[in-house]
Amino acid sequence: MKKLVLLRRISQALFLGLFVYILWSTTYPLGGGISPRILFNLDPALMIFTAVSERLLLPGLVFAFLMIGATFILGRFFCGWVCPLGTVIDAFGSLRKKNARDLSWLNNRRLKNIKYVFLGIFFLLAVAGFQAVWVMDPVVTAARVVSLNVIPAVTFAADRGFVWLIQRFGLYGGFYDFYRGLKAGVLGVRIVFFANALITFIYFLVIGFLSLVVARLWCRALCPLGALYSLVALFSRLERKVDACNGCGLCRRNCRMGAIREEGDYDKGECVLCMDCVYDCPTGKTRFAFKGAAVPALAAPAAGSKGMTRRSFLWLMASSFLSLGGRWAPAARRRVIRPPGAVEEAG
Amino acid sequence: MEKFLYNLETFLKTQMNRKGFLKVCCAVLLAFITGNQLLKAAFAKSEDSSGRPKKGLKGLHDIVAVKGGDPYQNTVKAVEQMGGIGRFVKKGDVVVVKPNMAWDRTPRQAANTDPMVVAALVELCYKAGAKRVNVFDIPCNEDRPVYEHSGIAAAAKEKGAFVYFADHWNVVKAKFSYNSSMEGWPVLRDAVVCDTFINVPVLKHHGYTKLTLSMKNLMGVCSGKRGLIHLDIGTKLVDMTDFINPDLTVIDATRVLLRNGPSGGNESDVQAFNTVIAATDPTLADVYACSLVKIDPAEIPYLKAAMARGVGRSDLTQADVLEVQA
Repeated sequence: MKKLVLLRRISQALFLGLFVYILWSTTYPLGGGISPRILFNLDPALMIFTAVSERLLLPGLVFAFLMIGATFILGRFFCGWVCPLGTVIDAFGSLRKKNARDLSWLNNRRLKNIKYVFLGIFFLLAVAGFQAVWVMDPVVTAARVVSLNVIPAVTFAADRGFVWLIQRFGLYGGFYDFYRGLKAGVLGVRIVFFANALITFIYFLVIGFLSLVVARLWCRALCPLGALYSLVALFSRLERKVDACNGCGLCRRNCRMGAIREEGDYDKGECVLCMDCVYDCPTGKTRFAFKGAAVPALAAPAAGSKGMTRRSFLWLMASSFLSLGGRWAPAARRRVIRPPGAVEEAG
Repeated sequence: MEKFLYNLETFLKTQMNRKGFLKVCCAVLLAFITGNQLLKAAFAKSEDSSGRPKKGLKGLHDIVAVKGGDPYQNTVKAVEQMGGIGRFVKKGDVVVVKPNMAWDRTPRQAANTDPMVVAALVELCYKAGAKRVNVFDIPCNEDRPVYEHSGIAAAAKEKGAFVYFADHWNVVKAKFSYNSSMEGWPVLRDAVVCDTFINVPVLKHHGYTKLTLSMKNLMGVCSGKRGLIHLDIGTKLVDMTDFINPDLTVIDATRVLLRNGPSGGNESDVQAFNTVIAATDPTLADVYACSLVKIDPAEIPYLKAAMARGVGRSDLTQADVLEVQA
């Protein structure tokens, strides 16, 4: 029995359900009991970049740093166990026939580094005063799709279904009152057609299609939040340990993040703790344990990788931060555009 | 999945010729037309209606105006002086109480009917043996906040009324025996298919028609593009009044918005008149309400149109008016 995988799936389903519930209750009179703000407070990429671009110490940063702290201990648990977009991508991925095509070239290091470039671009933009990470942030992307596409589509379809039943069979009695009750409650989301809904939906379909080609391609190569978490997860306490490896390579072929290298060694920052490899291993000697356990990791990390290294990325961050540091609070911000003849306000 | 990818690849690699392109275009067009027709067939069309029958019910007086501190008691007393609710509501009737519930405003801001007036009428109807009392309106703001903040939904529900949001698909098409620009207008079926219709407007200022009164309140049962009603509003509202034919009109002048209507919002624009007016003739009720705020009825487009066409009575000197202090 794949106990850990089952646990992960339950966790993913629960968090996805909670996510949809929170968004569904963001309608008048704002019931639901959970503030939708928490969704975005728990997203460090969003919170930190917003704080940097606005030059503000946002209170929500506390939650963001809590998540980062948790990642220091557990690794990228968010990506594998919580992220709503990750769950949907996994669901798409389950439609994919395993190893249908040889796409091992996609597992290479360069592909994984693309997401750091995105993270870097978004960070630079944040330093310059633009919070642009919302374009690609997975929580925001999922929230967009749920609130602009899923909820309107579901309420519209349900509403049309009820109207058809009522009109077709003349059910203007108790059934109509039941429908009215639903309209006053759970179906009461006003059906609005958003101008950007199509763009959002196509964007979502592209993400889904990417995961049909290669498992979690979005998470591997593009996700800026994943990039941030993977930088932190390098230092995580929880580690994958292979006590005995016969070199069969099953775990490497099946890994949804392409995180496993030869000889049981793995890319710590890429692992989303999906726990598949624990059960793939024919020797049964793969496990996840905290640092300081008896058996040490088998091999040292491979040196000499090409493309942008972690070190160069951190240098890029630090140097860009310093180069713009002189303009930390730009004077341009204090200038305002006034209509002709306007008087400056007091104070 | 493998097959799908293969098919996709083949599709993308195949070059399309003119014939193929035309074929695809025709297929898409055909699918669109049939789909549209199927959808049209699936959803029933709204039937025609020539409006509610004219019952010609009369009260003991033409107009009863009750002045007093409590709007609930004022309403009860006004209906009582008209000869009791039993004249209008029979046992087993389905009653519509149509308040002015259009704006996201509190009762103190006086942009909607006072909830206590509505509650009193609902209770009276049930006492007279009504099977069901429906309370609804098509608001100008978002449904939910309007129903909640106006206080009407809660007050009416407490008395057992069915309060619900109006469905724009559940309409009839208005038919008139004369030429009317409201011909074919979608009107809420529930407002037409009922035994008794009680119109409960609020007296308030209106930026375009000077006053909102009982005829103006009937815009709330009209679906469709309501903005168009404002073109030649007088004639259209008189036609609408003729179509709906309210059995009883109860005008709430408890708190009157005197400026910045119809939405208002500023409590300093509100003056307490503490009056409830009951009448069977909508025109006469509206003319009497005008006299309260000292505005010439001829300045109000729909009353002007009603007078010109001789719909209802408009001469207060000839009317039997009973003014009571509660």
